[in-house]
Amino acid sequence: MNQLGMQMPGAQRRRSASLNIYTGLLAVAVLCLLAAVLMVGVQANKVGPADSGEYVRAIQTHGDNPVKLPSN
Amino acid sequence: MHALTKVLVVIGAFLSVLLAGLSVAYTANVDSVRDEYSQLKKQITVANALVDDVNQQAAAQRESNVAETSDLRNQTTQLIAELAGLQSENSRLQADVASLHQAASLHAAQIDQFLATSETYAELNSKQSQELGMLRSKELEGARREIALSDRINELEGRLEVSIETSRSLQERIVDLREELEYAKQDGSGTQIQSDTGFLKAPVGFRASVTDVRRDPAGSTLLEINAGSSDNLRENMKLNIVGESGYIASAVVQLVDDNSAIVRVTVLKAGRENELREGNIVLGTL
Repeated sequence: MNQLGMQMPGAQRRRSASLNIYTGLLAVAVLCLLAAVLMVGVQANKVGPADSGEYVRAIQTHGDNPVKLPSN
Repeated sequence: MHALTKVLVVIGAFLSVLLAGLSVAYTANVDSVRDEYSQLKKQITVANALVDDVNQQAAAQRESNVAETSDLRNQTTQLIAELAGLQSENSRLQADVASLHQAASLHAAQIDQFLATSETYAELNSKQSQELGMLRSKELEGARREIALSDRINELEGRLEVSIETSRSLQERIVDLREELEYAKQDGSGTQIQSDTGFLKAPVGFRASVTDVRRDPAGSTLLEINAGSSDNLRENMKLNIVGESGYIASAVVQLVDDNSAIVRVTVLKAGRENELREGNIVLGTL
């Protein structure tokens, strides 16, 4: 019932959601993840296969093919 | 939960998934790059070893080239010195050649002179040969004349001897005739057995041959014949000597043996002195 937004009689009055410390920690974690994704993406783009397109090579591997790095 | 918190959770989840994918791909690529890097490093090591070997060989080759270069420089120096010597020798030889050319021209002139001299000598020799031939022909002609004169002299000497003998026989005949005349005056008759010339006649049909020819110290010719007193031959008989070509001489018997006799030639036909030889026929009458 509680999950349906209904309040049972006699139940403690539901308090409205508010920003707390966890929200802040989560925001920090999200920022760190975003920074990590950017840095790993940039570096992965540097070591990805040269045959693939730009920014796509970051998520592709060389496999059994000989290593061919992009020029930049 | 606040809506912002939910949005952040969703964004964080999405970012986590994205980071995980990126990390997987990055890790795999880095591993491949590391393997490739290791292989390249090994290849670089091998290549460095090869480069070291090549460098060592190049160094050895360089040293040998340096030594060869120094040798070649030394040889070049020697060749330059030899070239200088050869150039000096060449100049000297050219000078010699020039002098030899001059000597050759001088010798050619001398040869021309010698040729002219030899031609002159040849002309002189030809003239001398002609003159010598003329002299020899003249000498031959003179010898022929001398021979003809000698023959003429011999013929005249023979005629002189014949004349002398004839004169002597005539003188003897004159003496005999005078003696006969004196005997005739004393006896009143002449000798019947003697011939008109004072010699006895040979027997009729008398024939003999000469067996030897001698030379009398007095100059007359004596003949030995193979007939004697057995053939009724007597001293002072007149005989005739005949050869192959006919009458040669007349002879008188000087000495008579039984089967041989010596006769003296009194008359010799001119030019037939040499025909008196053994085998001539002796006849009483011609």
